Amino acid sequence: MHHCHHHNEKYTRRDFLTKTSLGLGALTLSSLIDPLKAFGGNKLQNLNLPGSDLLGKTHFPAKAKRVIYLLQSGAPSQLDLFDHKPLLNKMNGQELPDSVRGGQRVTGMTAGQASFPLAGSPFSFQQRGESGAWVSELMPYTAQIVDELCFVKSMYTEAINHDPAVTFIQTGSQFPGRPSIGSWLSYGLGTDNENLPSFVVLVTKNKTGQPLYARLWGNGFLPSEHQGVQFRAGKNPVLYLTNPPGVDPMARRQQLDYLKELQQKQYDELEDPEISARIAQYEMAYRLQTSVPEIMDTSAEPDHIYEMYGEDSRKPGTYAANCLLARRLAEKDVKFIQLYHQGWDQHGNLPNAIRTQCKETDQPTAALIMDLKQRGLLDDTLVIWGGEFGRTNYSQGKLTATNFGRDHHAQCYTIFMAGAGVKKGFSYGATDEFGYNVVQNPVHIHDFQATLLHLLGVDHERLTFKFQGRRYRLTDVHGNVVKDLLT
Amino acid sequence: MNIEIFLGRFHPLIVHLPIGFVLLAFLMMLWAKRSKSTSFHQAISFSLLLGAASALGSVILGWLLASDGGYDDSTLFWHRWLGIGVALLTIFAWLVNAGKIKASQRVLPATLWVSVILIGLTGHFGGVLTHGSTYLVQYAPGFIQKMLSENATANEDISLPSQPDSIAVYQHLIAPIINNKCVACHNESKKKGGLILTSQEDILNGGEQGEVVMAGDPYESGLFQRVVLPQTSKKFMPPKGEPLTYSEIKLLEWWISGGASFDEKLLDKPLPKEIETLLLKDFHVSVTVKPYYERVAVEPASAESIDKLTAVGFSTKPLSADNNFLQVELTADSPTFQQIEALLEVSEQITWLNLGGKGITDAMLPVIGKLPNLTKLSIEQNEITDEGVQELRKLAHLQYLNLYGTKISDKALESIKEINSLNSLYVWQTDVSQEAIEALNEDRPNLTIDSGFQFENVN
Repeated sequence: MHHCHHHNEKYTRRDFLTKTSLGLGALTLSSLIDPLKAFGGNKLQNLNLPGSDLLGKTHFPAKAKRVIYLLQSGAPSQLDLFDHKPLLNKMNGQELPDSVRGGQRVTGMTAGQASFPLAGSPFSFQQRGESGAWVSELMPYTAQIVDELCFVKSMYTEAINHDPAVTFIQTGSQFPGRPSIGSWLSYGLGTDNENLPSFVVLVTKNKTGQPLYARLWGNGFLPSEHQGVQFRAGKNPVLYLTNPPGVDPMARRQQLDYLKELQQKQYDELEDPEISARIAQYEMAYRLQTSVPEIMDTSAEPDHIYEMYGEDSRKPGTYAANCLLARRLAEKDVKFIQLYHQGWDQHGNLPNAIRTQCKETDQPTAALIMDLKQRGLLDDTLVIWGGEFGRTNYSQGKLTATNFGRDHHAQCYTIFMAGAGVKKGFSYGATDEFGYNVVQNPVHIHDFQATLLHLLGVDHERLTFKFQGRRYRLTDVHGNVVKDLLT
Repeated sequence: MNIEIFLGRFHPLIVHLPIGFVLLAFLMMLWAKRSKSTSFHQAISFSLLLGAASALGSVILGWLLASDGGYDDSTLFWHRWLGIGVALLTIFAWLVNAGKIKASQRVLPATLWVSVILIGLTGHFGGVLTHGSTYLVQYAPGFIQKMLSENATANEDISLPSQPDSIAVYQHLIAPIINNKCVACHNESKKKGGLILTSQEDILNGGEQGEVVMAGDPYESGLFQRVVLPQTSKKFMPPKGEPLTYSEIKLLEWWISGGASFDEKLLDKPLPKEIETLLLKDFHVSVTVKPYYERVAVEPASAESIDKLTAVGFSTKPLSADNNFLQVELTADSPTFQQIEALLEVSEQITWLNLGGKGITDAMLPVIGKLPNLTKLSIEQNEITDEGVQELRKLAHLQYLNLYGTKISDKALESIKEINSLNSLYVWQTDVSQEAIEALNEDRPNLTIDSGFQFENVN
């Protein structure tokens, strides 16, 4: 074997030495004492078998079989949607008291401001449903389904800028390079439908705002077949999937079979896991050639469904159309369906911009939840709506009677969930009267992720992958399941 | 105040010095006697001097530590005075050995014998004070335990049961709080304020100022009032040591306002949300009822039966790594009766079954009716009628039934009404009428029936 290929090998010299020397040593030692017990018992024992205790089986019975994550990229203003703070209206234009901010950092965008005028929401709030959740006039459709929702008003993060924050909530780390939530689940739980990827990504077309990178749904250090597969609107939902003109399906199949033989030979020689990932991806692509056009073709959906999701849902690539697709993917048992909708980053011109954003998303989000419900799917599907952080209670730039902006705010924001395993008509956590700090039941990004995995039957401390000499988890060394949210 | 406790806490450390020194002197004395040697004289003298000095130090530190309070009175009494006795005896022994007190030759050995015995007793009482009286023999062999238990008074078991339905509110939640925080001063021997809090009778009797528990009104009950006063108040309880935690205060408040019953069980009355939350947080007690498939266990399905199911187009998966119940889904379309019949291979194990939109007919439903542990059944979007649904009446644990997009009508609800365990039913896009749904809901208020959703007009 050529020396250049050593880095590709599945079993390296280092692995060999570790396994034999340490293995023999450990064998002798463990016959004398149980060293694992001495360091905390079961947990460590499980950590010693990275991921291998899963292999498609959950740690405990799952409440949720699949997740639809509606990521509102750019950070929607919780103060204008769900976190009602009348005090801000009363003190509109007055200075943010130092005692509230308590010297906490603000972003470079407002750090230079001479004044931090409090900005009350210009939108009216009402308590809705039996649960009495506060919802602003911007969300008239979501307002009708609050009794299905589980609000978390006390989310907080450490990141203060978009890229680290969205990377954090998607991968558990502010630094790029870790696997996305969907990849972890694909790796840990496998797929429930062999004809579709277990992790599908849908991005609203023609939106601008904070950039989205493919690494947000990337597999990080996990085998590549676990990366999210983006389905696009238009003729080629998955790029390069269709056969070129003149290549019929039969020829494609034969070609793939020969290719597989070659790859298998290479694999037998090198045992590089990336080769098996490649084989799996070719096979998946072949199956996608029939399954993807089927799922993307929504022409058979009845009119009343289009009306439910809103007229936008007839236009491929819109958020509404993606919500409809998300339901279709959920029906086909795709495990993790990740939507992105950009444009929530309202540093200025908030009153107008947020109105547009809500118009695009409010009805489809609510329709998706209720459509899942009437089909009995909400029982084992978890829907999540939320951004990467919150927005400030003071105005960025000048506060006028009709216009203002809000800067990034990491200390608190609101998300909501619905469906499998979470309480409905429920609101958890609270912020202070100024909407600046969390005063009750804070939920950190890692807690949210731990809870998400828990709902899918996964113990976040036991889904691990060894990389560069240490074991990683989605929540790394943090995170507590927020049991109060669970049914 | 604090410096006293700080110093006092060195007592358990320092106390080992006199034990060692006196024991050494004692052993040297024995050896000297046996070997008739006189060369030990100075060494014994030195040991006793150090022993006396460190014993005196231990006594002082011990006194400071005891001022912190919270110790069992009678044990503390014995430990304290025996300790002082040892210190005095050691000083006496040193004086005798050094010839500062003239005494007969027998006095020194006798003094040392007594000292060593007293050190043993003092040490034991000290151990009881720090570790509790059961510490020493907790893991003793059975016969020793038996010997002891015949004398010991029967202690009521106050460890928290794992199942919420066996938790008694007073015994498992309230009594431990009182025992930890109040009983040190309010017991039969100490009776501060004339109040004893060790038994139901004594609690109800109250103290010098009358009753301390007004059932139903925590804010008029001394037991509650005193623990929520400002901590600077003279009347704040407990005056020394850790105040009650937030959870403890809340539990006490809830117990008194609920009638301060001494024999009520946790689940006898509906729990307030707040109590539910703090039980979960601080006691790891979850009062939510576990689903059927987590309460019951079955044998794992055999590999052959799983293979058979796979061969006819089912995918099967255990609910989890340590739960043998199966989630089963049909992947093949338009199955035959024989295919469906294969489910009986694992009839005990199937608890979630998904046959939605696969071409299931009424004729196949008798097979489904024979799956005793089914909790979740999805047979939506199939040609199923009221007649087929009759076969499901025997499913005693069914909780979820999805019939949307089937041919059922109002008559099906009559069969469904008999499934008492059911809590979610889906009948969207069927001929079931709104009146029939309302009628069923009246009978079964806990059954959620979904018949589709429409937004209200928002304009």
